[in-house]
Amino acid sequence: MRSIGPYQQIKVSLEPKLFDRLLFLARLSISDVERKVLMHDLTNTLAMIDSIHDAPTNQVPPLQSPSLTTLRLRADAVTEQVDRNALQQPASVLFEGLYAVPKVIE
Amino acid sequence: MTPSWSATTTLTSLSQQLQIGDTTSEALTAAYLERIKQSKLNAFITVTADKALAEARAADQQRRAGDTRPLLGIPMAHKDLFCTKGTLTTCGSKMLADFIAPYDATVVSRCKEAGLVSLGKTNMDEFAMGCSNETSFFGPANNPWDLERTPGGSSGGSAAAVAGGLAPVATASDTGGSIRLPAAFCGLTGLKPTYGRISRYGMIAFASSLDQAGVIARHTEDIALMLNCLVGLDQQDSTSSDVGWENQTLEHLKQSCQGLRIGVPRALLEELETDCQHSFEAGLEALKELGMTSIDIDLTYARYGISAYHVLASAEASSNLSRYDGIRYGYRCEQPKNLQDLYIRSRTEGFGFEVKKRILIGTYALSAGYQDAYYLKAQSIRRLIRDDFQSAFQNVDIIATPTSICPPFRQQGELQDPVTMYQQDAFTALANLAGLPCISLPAPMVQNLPYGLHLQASPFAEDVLLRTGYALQQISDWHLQTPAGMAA
Repeated sequence: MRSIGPYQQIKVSLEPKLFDRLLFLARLSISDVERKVLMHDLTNTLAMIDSIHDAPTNQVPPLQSPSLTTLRLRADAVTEQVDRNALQQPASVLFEGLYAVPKVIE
Repeated sequence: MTPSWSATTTLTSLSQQLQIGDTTSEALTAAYLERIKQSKLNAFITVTADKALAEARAADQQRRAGDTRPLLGIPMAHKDLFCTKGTLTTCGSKMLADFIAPYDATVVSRCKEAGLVSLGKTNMDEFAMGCSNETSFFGPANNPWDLERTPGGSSGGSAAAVAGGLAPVATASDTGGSIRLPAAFCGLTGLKPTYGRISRYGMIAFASSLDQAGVIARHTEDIALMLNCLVGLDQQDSTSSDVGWENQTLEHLKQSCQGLRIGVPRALLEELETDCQHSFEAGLEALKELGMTSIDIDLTYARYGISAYHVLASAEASSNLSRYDGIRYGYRCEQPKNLQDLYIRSRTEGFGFEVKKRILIGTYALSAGYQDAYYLKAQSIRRLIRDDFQSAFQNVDIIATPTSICPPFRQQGELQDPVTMYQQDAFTALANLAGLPCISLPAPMVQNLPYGLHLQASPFAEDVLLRTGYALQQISDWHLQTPAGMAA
C-alpha cells in the first residue's frame, strides 16, 4: 500500500488550455454556450473540492475501498457459456459478426 | 375484489390478502398499473404492463398450487439502472435510451426467484449523478407531496412511485445518498446496506467503491422482507460479501432496543435550520422513549467528507463511463468521420451536462500532476473518516443525524448553484466512504414537507437499524403521513 506524504497545496485555476486538455482526455467536446457555464461550474466545484488540502493526511495510506471482503479464488474452470449473438445485440453497427468502426488505416 | 391501498398496507398484509383469496396478484398488479397510468409523477421510465400481468397470472397459479413464498405475486418496481433482460435499461440517459440488456442484474433475478412482479423501471438522475432527479434525460420525477418539488435523487422515481402509491416497494441504489435522500424527501423508509451486502452484478456502475443496491418502502418491516430476498453472496460480484445474514422476521424486529447507545455528532449539525433541528431532536427523543441512550460524539474528519466524496465518485465515474464509446452498446453518433470523431461525438451527444461535468472533474483528479494531490489525498481522507467511525462504534451502536440539510426543494432552479446541490449529500456520503449500513426513517414534517432521520451502524449491523426503525414506527406515525389524494 502506498503511503503519501505532504503536499504542496494546489489552488484551482481552470485555464482554457487545461479545460481543453481535460475535454480531450475525456473524449468530449462542448458548445461555446455550454463551455462558459461548464467552466464556471467546474471552477466552483473544484474550489469546494480544494478543501481536502486542509486535511492532515501525512503518512495516512489511501483507502481504495471499504470492502471487508477478501477477494476469492475460484476453480480455474469454464462456468459460463457466452452467447455471442446476444451480447452483440446492443451494438448499433455490426459487420459479419464484428463490431464496425470507421476505417482506422487507409 | 379490487385491492385497496392505505398507508398501513405492508408487504405482509398484501401477502395475507393474496393468501386468503381476498385479492389476486393479477388484480393487485392491474390496480397498480392503473394508478401508474393516471399518475402525474413521471416516476417510471418504462412500464412493462403486459409482462407484469403475465408474471402476476403465473404467480396466482403458483399460489393455487400451494406455493407460499412470502413475496409471491407482490408488485414492485426496479430503479432503471438494474439490467433487465429483454426490457429497456436506460440509467436515465440518452446514452442508453435504446439499451436492452442481454442479462438480468442479480437484484432483478433474486426478485424474480422470490416471485415478485415487476411493474417497470423507475426514473432516476442520469447515471445516478444528482440529488433532485432533474438530470434525467426523461424529465424529472415529481414529489407526490408537491408536484413542483423534487422527490430527491438519484432514486427519485423509486421514492415517488412508493410515496405516490404506484408500487408498494422499489429497488434503488446509493452512491452518496441516493436511496436515503429520496426516501427522506418523500416520507418513506430507505435502507442502504453495508458495502458488499447486496450484489452489484448488473447494476450500472457510477462509482464502484461507493455504489450499493438497496430498497425504498414505507415500512421498515417491508425493507426487512426485501433484504431477506436480496442479501447474499454472489460469485458474479467479487466484492459481494459472504458475511452471514439471518432472515429478519417480525420476531427479530420486535427485539427490544433498550440500552442501545446513540451517538450524535453535534458539530455537524451547527449550521442546520431551526425547524430541521427540531425535527431531528423530536426523532431522537422518540428513540430515547424506546430505552435508548444518547451521547455526543466527535467525527473529526467528517467535514472533509463531501469534498473527498466528490473527488472519488467523479474519478471512478470518469473511469467507469469511459466504456461508452459508441461501439459495443449505447448511443452512436451519425456518420462518424473517423474513430476519434465516433468517440467524441457519441459521448458528447449521448451524455447530459451533469455527467459531462463529473467526468471532467474525475479526469482532472486522475490526470498526470493532479492524481496524488486529489485522488490519493481523497483516499487518505477516506481512511481517516473510516477510522473515525470505527472509533465511534467502540462506544455507540448507532450514529444519528438528519438525512438532509433541508426538506425537499423546488425543481427548476431553487438550488441553482451546483455546489449547494452537492451539499445535500453532506450527512449521507460519509457512510458510502466508510461502507456502512444506514437507514433514513420519516421524522416529523418540516414546513409541512417530509424530513428524514438518518441512522448509521457498524458494518453488517443492518439488524440493529431494522430493529430500531421498526420500534420507532410502532410508537410514531411519521411514516404513515401521506400526500393528499392518496387513498384508493
